[in-house]
Amino acid sequence: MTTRGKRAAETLYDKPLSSKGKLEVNLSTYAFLFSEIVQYSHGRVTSLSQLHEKLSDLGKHAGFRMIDVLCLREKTPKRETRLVNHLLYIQKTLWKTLFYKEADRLEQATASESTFYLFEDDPVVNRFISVPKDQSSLNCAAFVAGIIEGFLNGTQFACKVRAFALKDQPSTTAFEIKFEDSVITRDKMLESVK
Amino acid sequence: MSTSLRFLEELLQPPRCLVAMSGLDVRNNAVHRAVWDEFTQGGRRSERKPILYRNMPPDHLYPKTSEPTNYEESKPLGVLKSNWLRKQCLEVPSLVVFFFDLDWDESQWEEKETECASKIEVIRAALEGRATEIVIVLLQTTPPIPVGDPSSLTSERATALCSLCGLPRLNLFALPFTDRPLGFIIRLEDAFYKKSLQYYSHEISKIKAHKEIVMKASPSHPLLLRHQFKIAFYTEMKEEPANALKLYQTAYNHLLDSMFLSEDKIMEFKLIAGFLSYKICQLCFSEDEPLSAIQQFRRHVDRFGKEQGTRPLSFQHHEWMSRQFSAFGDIFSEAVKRGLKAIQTQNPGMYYHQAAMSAIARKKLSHNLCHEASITPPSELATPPETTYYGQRPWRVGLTDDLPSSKEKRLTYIRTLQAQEFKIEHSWLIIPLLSKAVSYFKNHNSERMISHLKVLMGEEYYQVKEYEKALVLLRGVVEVYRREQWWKTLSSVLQTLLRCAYLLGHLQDYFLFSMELISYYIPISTEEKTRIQHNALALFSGQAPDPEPGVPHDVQVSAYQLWADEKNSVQPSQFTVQASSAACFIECKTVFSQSSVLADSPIQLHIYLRSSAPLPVSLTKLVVLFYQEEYNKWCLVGEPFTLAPCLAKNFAFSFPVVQSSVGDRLEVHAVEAVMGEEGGREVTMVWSNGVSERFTSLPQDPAWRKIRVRNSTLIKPRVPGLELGVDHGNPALTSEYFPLCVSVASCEPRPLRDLVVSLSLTDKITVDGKNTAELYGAIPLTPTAHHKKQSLELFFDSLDPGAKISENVFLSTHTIGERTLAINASYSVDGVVREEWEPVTCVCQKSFSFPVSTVKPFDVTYRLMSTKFKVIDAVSFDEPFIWSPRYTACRHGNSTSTTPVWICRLM
Amino acid sequence: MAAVCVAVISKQNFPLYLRSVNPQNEADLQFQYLVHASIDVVEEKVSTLGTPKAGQDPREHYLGLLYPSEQYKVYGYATNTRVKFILVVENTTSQSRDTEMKMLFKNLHVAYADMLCNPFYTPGQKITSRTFNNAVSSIFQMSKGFTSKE
Repeated sequence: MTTRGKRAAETLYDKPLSSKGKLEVNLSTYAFLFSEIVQYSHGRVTSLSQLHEKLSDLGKHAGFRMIDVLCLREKTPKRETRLVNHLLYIQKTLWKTLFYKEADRLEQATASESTFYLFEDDPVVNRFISVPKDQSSLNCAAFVAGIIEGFLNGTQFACKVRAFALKDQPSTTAFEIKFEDSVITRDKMLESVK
Repeated sequence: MSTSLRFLEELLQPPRCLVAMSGLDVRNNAVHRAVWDEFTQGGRRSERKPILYRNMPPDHLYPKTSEPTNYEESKPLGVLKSNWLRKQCLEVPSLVVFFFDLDWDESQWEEKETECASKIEVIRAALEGRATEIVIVLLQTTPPIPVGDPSSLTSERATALCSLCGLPRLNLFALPFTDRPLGFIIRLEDAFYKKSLQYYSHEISKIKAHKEIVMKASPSHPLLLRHQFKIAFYTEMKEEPANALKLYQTAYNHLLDSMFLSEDKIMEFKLIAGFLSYKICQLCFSEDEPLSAIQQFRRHVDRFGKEQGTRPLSFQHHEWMSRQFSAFGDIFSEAVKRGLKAIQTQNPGMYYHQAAMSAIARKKLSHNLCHEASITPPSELATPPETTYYGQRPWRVGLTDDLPSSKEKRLTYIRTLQAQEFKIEHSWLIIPLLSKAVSYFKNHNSERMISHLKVLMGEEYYQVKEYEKALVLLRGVVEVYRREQWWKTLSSVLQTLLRCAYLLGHLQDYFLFSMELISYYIPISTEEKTRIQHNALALFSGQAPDPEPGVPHDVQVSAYQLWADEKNSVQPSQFTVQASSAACFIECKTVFSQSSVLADSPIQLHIYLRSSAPLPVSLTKLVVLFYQEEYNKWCLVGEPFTLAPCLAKNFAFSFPVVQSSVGDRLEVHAVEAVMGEEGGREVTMVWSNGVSERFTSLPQDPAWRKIRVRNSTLIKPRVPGLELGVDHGNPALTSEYFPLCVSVASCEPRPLRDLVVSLSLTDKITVDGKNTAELYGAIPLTPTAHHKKQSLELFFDSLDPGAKISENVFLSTHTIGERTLAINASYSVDGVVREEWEPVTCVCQKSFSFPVSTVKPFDVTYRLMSTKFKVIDAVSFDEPFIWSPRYTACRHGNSTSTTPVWICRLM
Repeated sequence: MAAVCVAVISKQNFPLYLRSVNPQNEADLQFQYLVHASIDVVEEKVSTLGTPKAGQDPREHYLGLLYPSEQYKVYGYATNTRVKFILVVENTTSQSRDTEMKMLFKNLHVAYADMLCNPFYTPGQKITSRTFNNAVSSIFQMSKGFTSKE
């Protein structure tokens, strides 16, 4: 899933005819599909957190399958086993495959060493969704959070991912990735072995 | 024919020079015997030469040489004469050593001399035409005469003897037989060896000369192969392995080039190629070139692997292939023993495996083809004669390509060979190959390969009716396939095991294997499963199961007998089966309805059993066992029940909490289900921890999958229905007997008993080792150590529902600050969980901690003033001053100071 | 060099998919054993991939010839997610070319990834997708084409 860049100067006629196997999907198509997903889930839940959970579950499905797809496309025989490298991989490669750009920032929480934050300005999934005032905590980036969670769980980094909008910058979404203790311990062990 | 297909021992061993000993009477003469022993088995092996000694009687007739024929005209009848190798290794010596007892100072020198000479003549006549040299060794009892000693007697006699026998002077040796002849013997051996080498070199040059002649006549004459083989063989004898290797390789390539494509010649060439290839590989390994050996072998097998020969005798091809592989495996394993490192993909085990596979193919073919021949009467059979040349078909001997072969002779011979083949028990040839392969793969930890080989071995044991061994072998294999979830292979192995168990009359094993075969995971047809289940269930009604299909008839009879014995055996057979680790046809799940239970509520437990067998199964008993054994008596189903196929049956149990286990985690230890008759054959299926193994490779029934296992539950203590309170007027003043009013109010529906309220100071702050706070039950008039306590307990007998009691205790602190106290109330109350159960007595507890802050009651400061109310520092003697204390109460922050005035005077 | 059997092995080493060109009962069982036994070699190779040796490219998925037996040659390929592909080809005297095998495996990997993206397929279950079957049939065809070239 990639989006077409919104460059005003280029029109449809400037683009090459066949995209030569570039795996792109039309933005409007994607937005339409996603809005259907949200509406479908919305109609079947009773609370906001359940909606988030449902979207997250759907995202997990997609995330898990991305592992094999990326493995095939990127042609690297080795997967990252270190935590930070893996997160960088997500930030760069996974995001590029999904959204055609890299995620903006990756930070580690100062409070705990098992929590990381991934920031994205203006995520695609939220671009066409307007949140009503009474449900201000709704963030459909829960779907993307699910993708990240599925990807990490499938590559043996057990974690929980949550998406929320930053208070002072409502267009930026932060993904809070909280790893389980076993993952952190394992990472420390690998560090000491090296 | 088949005899010449086999590798001869002469080929397998590295060749050694042949030296014939003559004139040694080993049986009668002790000295001769000793000499013989020294030569053949004596010490200092590392210095010895590779010579094979043979003791020939003095009048032994050596094989005659054949006349060299005119090569240009006649065509050779074959490549290599079948007895040539044997002749060279055992019959035709390179050197004849004649031993003769003769001392230098022998009195009857003349007679002895002539005797010796005549014997030599005999030998010479026997060796006519050959280039073998004769050497005389005189066995002497006198001590040796040093060499070079110009003792005229010995040298004279020696020269005379030699000239009489017609031998050069150098061919005469003397062996004084003293105590330690070893040194002499080694020197003699060196001399013999040199002469041997000379002989073989001579032979090589003779053959080379022949070869030159032939090559001039026709460059691709078929005899060239023979020449090349002989030359290479002699070179090997001369201990020149590098040269020999090159020569063998040349011979092999020549063979490949000159193969004629008619059926007979193919067999011959195949055989010779087999010999050459073996030699090449052997030499390659000893020259430390394993890769070239492997390459050569691969090339050889690829080239000749397709030449199956005539159809009725195609089993011989597989025999040949099997022999090739196992011979290669042998030399490879020799090399490994010498230190070559083998890897998992190239090790002797692989070749043994291939040899076994060829042998199995041979077995199959022989069963198919030779069946008819095995029933022809012996009068019609005739053993084909041995051919003069290697690899030739006996019915083609003596014929050229023009004349037709004798058809009847051919058919008879073929049929005889087939009949002989049929009699061979192939499995006993296959099994050692497989076990050798297993031992090599064990070095590389190839567990799965070993399992595969063991399956093949088990199959072979089954074929030869060694059912016990097959059972033992295959049992281990089942574990591997089940754990890796390869259901197809597992089902095939289990079917073999079932047959073995049936034929041995093992009740327990039979049930175990049927239990797995009828489960959901095994991909066999429903009819099969029904049949197996029917048989298994028949066991419990005391009958013998029906025989398995594919079991040969003769063994069935003995099986009937075994089952009848089993049935009539005195003790009733009851056995236990671990159903949780096997892919059993009944699956079990235990679910506690809640993850934690209060001490006064009933525990709900559900056991789900689901059978995937095609027919309904009836069980007689179900028991649930816990780690805490007091609960075991509660979960029991005594009546028989039936499990319908693919339907989960739910057993619900509820039982009260045993008070001694409050705070523990209640866990299911095992679930047991019994099938069979009471007092008869019974099987107990046990699921440890109450769960059966989850195999994820096949999708499960969604209804079954939804049931989430929870096989343990935490028992929490009952919620106390008590109101506990401590009243006090915070803050306390230091050293005050600060009253704390403890009140207990009961909200229980039933009276409480044994109510104990305890108060304690949780923070132990000490100053100079002394506690800074104490508790008192009542205000003592004179506080002693006895009264001061760090923790206090109040006992009340009982409390009725709704009643309230209160008691005062006192706290005295000596430092400012906040102190924490903890209060704990515990009591026991009767409760009835359900009417049908006994009332239980629950112990409940309630506790909390509360702070008490301490402040100083008041501060005292003073001022000194003069009588004129002026503040002064010092006081003078005999002068009145005013001392005005000031009291500040710290309670509410305001200072209520009362300033009394004291007029004092120092005296 | 015609391929006779294609197998996909999951990360817990049980077969997700095993298909031979002529599905006869006897031969199929033999392939089961053969493929199962070759997993040993795969495991050994995968464990040594961690330490790059001279001459071995550590960035390759392709594991090469696993087990040369008399009738068949077995080739292996391991993905990042521990899913292994095994290809069994007939043993002919012609030299097998690594590039051809790599191409066959690449196709198989692509077909597998495609099938995995199907939301109705649960990873870890037996593969029953028709598209995947067709892809495997085309692999059989392609490998036959290699034989006829020689």
